[in-house]
Amino acid sequence: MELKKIKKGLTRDEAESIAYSMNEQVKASYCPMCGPNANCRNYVFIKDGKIVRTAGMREAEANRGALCAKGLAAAEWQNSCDRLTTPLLRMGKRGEGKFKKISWNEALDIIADKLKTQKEKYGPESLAILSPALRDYKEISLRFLAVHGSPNHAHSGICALQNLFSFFYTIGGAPVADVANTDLVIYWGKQPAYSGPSGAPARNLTEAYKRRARIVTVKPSVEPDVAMSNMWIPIRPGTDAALALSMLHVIIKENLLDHDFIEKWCNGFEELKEHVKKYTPAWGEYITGIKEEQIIHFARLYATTPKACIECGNGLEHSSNASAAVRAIASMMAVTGHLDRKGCNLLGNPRGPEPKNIMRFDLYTEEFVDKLVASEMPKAFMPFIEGTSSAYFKTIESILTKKPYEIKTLIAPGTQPLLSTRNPKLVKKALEEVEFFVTIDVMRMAEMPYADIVLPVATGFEMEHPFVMEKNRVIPRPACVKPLGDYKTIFHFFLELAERLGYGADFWHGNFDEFENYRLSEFGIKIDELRNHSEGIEIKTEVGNIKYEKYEKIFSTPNFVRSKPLFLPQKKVALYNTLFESEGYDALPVYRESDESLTGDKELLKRYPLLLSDYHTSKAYSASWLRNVPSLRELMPEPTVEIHPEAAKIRGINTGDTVKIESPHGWIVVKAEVTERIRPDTVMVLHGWWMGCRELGKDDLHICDGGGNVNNLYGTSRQVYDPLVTAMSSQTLVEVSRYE
Amino acid sequence: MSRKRFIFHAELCIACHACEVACKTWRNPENGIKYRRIESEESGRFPDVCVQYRTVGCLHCEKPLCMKACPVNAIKKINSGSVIVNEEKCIGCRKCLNACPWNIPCFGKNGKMRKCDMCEKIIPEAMKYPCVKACPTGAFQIVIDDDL
Repeated sequence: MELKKIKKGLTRDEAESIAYSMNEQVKASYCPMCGPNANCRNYVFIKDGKIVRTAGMREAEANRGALCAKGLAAAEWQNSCDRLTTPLLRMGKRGEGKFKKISWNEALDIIADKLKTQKEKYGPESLAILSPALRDYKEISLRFLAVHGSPNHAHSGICALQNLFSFFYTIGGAPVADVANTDLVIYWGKQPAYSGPSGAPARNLTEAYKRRARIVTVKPSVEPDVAMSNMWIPIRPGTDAALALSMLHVIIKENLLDHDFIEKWCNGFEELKEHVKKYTPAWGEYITGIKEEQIIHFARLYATTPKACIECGNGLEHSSNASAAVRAIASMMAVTGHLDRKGCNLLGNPRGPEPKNIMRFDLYTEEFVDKLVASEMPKAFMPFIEGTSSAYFKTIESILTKKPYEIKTLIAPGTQPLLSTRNPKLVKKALEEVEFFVTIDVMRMAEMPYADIVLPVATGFEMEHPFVMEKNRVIPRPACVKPLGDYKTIFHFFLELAERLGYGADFWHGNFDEFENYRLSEFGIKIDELRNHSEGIEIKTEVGNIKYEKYEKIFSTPNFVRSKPLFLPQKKVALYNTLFESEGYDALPVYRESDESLTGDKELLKRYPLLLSDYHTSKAYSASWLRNVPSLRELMPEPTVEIHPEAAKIRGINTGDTVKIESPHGWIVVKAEVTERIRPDTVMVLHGWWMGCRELGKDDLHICDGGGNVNNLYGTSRQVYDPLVTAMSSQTLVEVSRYE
Repeated sequence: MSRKRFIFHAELCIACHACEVACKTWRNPENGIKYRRIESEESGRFPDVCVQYRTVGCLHCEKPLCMKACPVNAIKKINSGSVIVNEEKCIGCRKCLNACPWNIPCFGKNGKMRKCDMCEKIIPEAMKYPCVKACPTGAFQIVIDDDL
């Protein structure tokens, strides 16, 4: 008997045989369904000029044939009735939603005229571009701003940069968890199953599980990665810093340390030792809600497992204690000897070949940095690895407060400020008041009614997009189908706008091919040649083997800040951070209590006894996108709150009930899911609810009170920000009640 | 004797719903109908709570109860192992749904029973089992005995 196993996804031959028998066309493409470039590739099947379905590409390095729910629903997204079709110019009042069709040339002329006038009148810094999640057009948008003269790239404050900043200034780089070789992997505020189910994150998780490595998950509710783990640390949202600090207390008190490493490579161990004395596990339990014994056990387990690594996720960044949490975790990696050793957290290993960088770090002078409207990190630490950035919410706020000055033009490419940041009521006011507002997207978006100009851009399926790297291969991204409307790509938008503003010399005179040739110049190939190789071109480079314990090199990583040549001035791990201290910030990680927490304001807690936080990503959606895709909407049809049976019972709430969630700042209406999977003192909802799904008869929801937008519940006082990295807290206190 | 059967390693399922959406977008049942779905079952109390995920679709039973319950013999177990429905014969009485312990049979706008047929209706070999091909962890597989 011969057993045949079915492999993941399709090979090119299989895809072509399907297309042949179905009388269709097949094209190799690149999945556009989640923001951060996951690099998953796919085969798209085309009938009568329309994409009918997609499959995972087995030859692709990232997904190796697998494709997630979102990627498999790409045809529905591409052909959605919500696609924008033409550039629009606002005719009615802000918010009315009255537009007239215009051409791309007219739209670009209007924008260029406006920016020219404003640059003369108010200075170039009056322009802010709101940053979406990490997308492939981030660099060109940053280059555009730099050449225009504005440092105001408005970054969300809750995605990657916050973690990276604290890591770079503590251990000199981003620690990559060596999951493949570890005996213990800790997923801390991370969701490996839903952020990249078809790629490395989920593959590493399941490989670790099959190898019987120990898995620990730190998060407030049970998700699929928790179901696979040996130990669940059910933490109160936003208290990760307290957990890490009390673990450090245990590790130092019990002397579970790598003394040689500390001696040779750590700055300020004695100060840290003294500092964490007050962070006892009993205090840790009071703040985090995790049992003292579990904190001790967890600390011992990590410190005494030689091959142990930590995967830090975005969950850590959604807190006013974000920088303290990451600095404490980085310190813990260092003092226990878990840095840059096999199976631990690796630093500074060689990456594959990269195209010529289009960023303009040369333009980030002190004078330029000084113009930031709301510097995301302190100005003394700008630029950071993604250039200069302003805090997203504060940038919008400046339109109303006019402090330190007023942003006059907002451009929102692929980001929805009414959903993506806090306090939609305030954002709405700002969008009504801002002098000029441009939105750019493939799909209708929440802010459209407020926009002066709406620009429809092409998906990666319908117009050629810039090539991508897949390890050593340059992969072209040709169009697969004809555009459904009057589109340009977002890259053409920046290139052609720059040309109109007189920045042509810096923008290849608006020519996309020349832009691509510039990026390719690193490899000595031309775009015309690449277009003839649909499977890509391999770049021959010597990528050395992984080396461990490269401390001398890593701890001397050069900084981007001109006045601070190194991230670590002592060329040692900054347990005690003299750079932060010299600028007036905490030299050691300090836990700050917030009013809106279970251990915060007692009066507030009487009215709002439950802690609320939100999930950033889910199996069906990417942030506030994709609610309109029927196959995905069927997976999660409505906004839902997870609530523990104890909390539900005293409120008379059952699964499926419609409930009102009220915080000191607003209220939303969602369905209840009563479950043991969550802490009894915590409730969780998913971020990003607004868009309806016409195919399933689902209407758009309110953006402010009465809708499903969790950002309506959070405050925006000074207290919600991390003092160092401007991370915004995703925690508040709420009451949940039945809603008739 | 069966030639092909689904196997499922529940411990490797990450509830990503790829199998569910792959079936949906490759087999195109109308909105509201699914041949495959992910379900979860929780047991224990916080914090000692255990969650099991599973992919749920027709199990293609050796002795299908739906087949037995069908008054017009519209349901058949064929040699390949698949349990299939003859839509011509089906009268939409839903007795199969009552008989099925797993709540599998679906009914579309035309009232006829529809469910997973292990891709019997799909002609190109490479196009079969999109659900299995989408599973990123190998939790959901199909075993095909080519010898028979």
